[in-house]
Amino acid sequence: MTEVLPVEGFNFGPILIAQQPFSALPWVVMLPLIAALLCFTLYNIKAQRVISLLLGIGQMLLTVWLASIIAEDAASSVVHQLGGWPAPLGIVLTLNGFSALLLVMAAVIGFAITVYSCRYFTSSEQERKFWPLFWLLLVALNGIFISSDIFNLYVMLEILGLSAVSLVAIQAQRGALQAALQYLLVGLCGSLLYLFGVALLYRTYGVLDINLLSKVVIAEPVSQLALTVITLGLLLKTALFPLHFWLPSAHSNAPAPVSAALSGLVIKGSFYLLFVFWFKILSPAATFAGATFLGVLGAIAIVWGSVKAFNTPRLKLVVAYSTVAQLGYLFVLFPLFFGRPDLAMGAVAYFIVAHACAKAAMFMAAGSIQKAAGHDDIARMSGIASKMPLSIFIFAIAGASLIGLPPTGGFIAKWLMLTSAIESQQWWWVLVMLAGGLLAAAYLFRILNLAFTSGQDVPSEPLKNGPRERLWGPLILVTITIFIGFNAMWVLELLNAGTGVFALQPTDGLMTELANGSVNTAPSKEGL
Amino acid sequence: MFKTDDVSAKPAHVFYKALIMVSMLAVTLSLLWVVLPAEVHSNAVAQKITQNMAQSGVLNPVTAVLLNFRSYDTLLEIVVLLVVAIACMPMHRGTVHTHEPVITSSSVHSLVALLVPLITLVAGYMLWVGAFAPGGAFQAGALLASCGLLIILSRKFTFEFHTLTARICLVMGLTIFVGVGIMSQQSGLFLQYPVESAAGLILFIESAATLSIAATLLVCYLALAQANVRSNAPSAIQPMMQPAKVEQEK
Amino acid sequence: MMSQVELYTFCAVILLGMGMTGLILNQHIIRKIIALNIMGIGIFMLLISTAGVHSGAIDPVPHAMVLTGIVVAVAGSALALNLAARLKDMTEQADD
Repeated sequence: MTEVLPVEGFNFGPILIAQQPFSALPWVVMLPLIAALLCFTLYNIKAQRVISLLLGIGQMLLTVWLASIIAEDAASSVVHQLGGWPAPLGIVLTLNGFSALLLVMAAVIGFAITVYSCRYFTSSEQERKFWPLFWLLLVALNGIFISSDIFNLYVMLEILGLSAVSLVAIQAQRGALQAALQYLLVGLCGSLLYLFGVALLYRTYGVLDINLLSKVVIAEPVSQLALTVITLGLLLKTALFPLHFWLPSAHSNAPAPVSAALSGLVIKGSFYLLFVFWFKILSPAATFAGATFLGVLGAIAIVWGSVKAFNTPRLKLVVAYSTVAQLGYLFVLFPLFFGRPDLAMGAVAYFIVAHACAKAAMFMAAGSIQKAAGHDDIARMSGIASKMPLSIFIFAIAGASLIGLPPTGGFIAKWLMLTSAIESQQWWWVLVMLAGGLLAAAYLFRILNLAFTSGQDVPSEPLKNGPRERLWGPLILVTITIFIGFNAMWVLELLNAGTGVFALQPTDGLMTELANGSVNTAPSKEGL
Repeated sequence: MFKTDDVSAKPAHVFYKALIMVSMLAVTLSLLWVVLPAEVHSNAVAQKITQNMAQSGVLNPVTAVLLNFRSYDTLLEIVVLLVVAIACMPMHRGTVHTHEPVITSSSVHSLVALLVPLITLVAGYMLWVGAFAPGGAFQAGALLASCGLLIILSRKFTFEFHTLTARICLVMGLTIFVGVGIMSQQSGLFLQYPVESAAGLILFIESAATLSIAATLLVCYLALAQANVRSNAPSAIQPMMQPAKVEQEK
Repeated sequence: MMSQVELYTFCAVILLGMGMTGLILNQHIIRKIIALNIMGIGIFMLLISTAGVHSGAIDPVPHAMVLTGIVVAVAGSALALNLAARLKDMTEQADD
């Protein structure tokens, strides 16, 4: 990192992105914020679309640049002290390999949704409200990935939740409003539980910064209570079984670009936070038993979500239940992280990226099918593949990624997960993962089968095909899904840079369990 | 449990309620058992704040923390308000709603005419005194919003949500905050105020924020009032009271 | 007896428990929103209780956290009330 001389007074120089990456880091949050302010002030729809497209491209360039900085210098991590005040006085923003990857993912999926939304809305009132709220959602998401202060993360979580709820409630229909209200209550409860954990941690340790906190936390009842409460709050927001009750109605009743953002991005934000708390901040308080409990809940979620998806008559509801099932995989990785952290880390990151791309593309394809057919009913969609080939193609590729078929990114993610399960000798998770793949195949093939075969007795219904350009968005995403299926090493190298921060610190909990032999793992590598 | 039932929902079974109450009692007691004996932290951060107060530009430590040391949090707090303002704004452009005054007695009218300038003055004072004593942008914004509420409740008026002026009022605070943050980069670090102009910058940001906060609170109230205008109620407040009455009758 | 910190902490946890119970048990949306607010107040009390423990300067960081938290709670309640009012409005229009 080059040295910067402090200058007195106002300095207009570093307004544009400076050569130092650390001064560019807040722009990841400021750029979407400026986009939101512009979109809100200019109420003209064409202006909003142009601003969104331009700034979406800018955001992608910025995040890719930051990720390349991290990738080439493996030991670096970008640190930005806001206001010039070091922690614990002020708030610090940091970037490591994992968060850089997630930033790129958020920017790319955000851009794909932007392209899709330019041609989606029929009501201009809804679209006028959509753009500023969508950009504020991206502000919150990027803020979660770069922040290094647990109270700042609370405010970001709130922005994320409130903007997600507002986006669901854009449609003035009864189902959407009810789903939005339920989502809001659940989200507020989850945030308050998270704040309770933050209050306990500050009360006991006196620091809010993540790096400082991870150095002083010890395994005592208060920190374990804080971990429990934070986990409970974040599980409410991430919709793990049995706290998933709000997700199907919220994600299926929202407009399609909103559903894509919710399933693809919003859920990953709170999951990322949960992951950071378990394996970085409060890792002394994390126990293998707790992680196994989360894994068991994840396994139940996989089975439950898949069974419900198989039985649902509505297309968007199937995709929403599929989200519930796929999130189970992420939680099955928690006990595997205790066994082999390096493999599990790659699996977590890959799975997040692959699932986000696939699910967002799937929701957008389902949305365009719904717009064209006028309804959501799977039973009336026989033979639709010949009339809407592009949408079904996108749906099929996204489905292949969810099932875990090569050469998609989902296959690499499942491969990494299975490898980490086998290497850490926790065989039962392998069975769960394989069963999950079969069940996903079941409910996805049911839809595709119906789409490709035209039934004789069902009259073909007229379709109003929408503008073709909006499907470029999900097309980008499925292309990326296949791309990362072929080029796994690029992603994994980015991850290895700076993910040493996710090493499990050997502490009382884990060490005594290993000594007693109650944890049946292969010798785990310390750190990465 | 979290379903939003209408007023006509059946009450849950008594056993189910008792079970939840007992389990919540157990949870609360276990929380007490864990939290009460826990030691409170040492005061390292507060000492650091005291050491750095001279460079923060204000005398009140809470304002220094809110608007200088942890100004990013305050920026995001205003973003939260903006999200809610955008979400609450009614959809349909061009529909002008005329609200009948709620308070109809003339003595209260003249009292309101006297109070509104005084409250505005107090709001300005709260904004100014935030640098030395408890006060600041949020308190002043809430007072200004109460001014607006008094006017709404006692006068017949119309309100257009979708004009450019309204939108500029709503985004003004955030725009100035972000603008100052970008402009005041000294060593490439965001939101780093130069020490000699820190006090002026903080006051500038707080003034803009006061306007935005008051505007957001008023928009939220007016959106609620407008949603109830269509419910055949003579005043805007009554529909919110009716569900409670129906509950008591059961 | 209890010290000041312990008393505030006790009350804060009681409020938190009451708020959560109210959120789960109540059916009416306004009561749920009030219960959420009570939960929030309990947490703010827990934060504030630590501010004056040590002699010397009080710790201003919990004060700042509570101020931010209050604003966020108000914003959340406003959104919830707005959605509930729109839903009620829509239900009444459907019943007409």
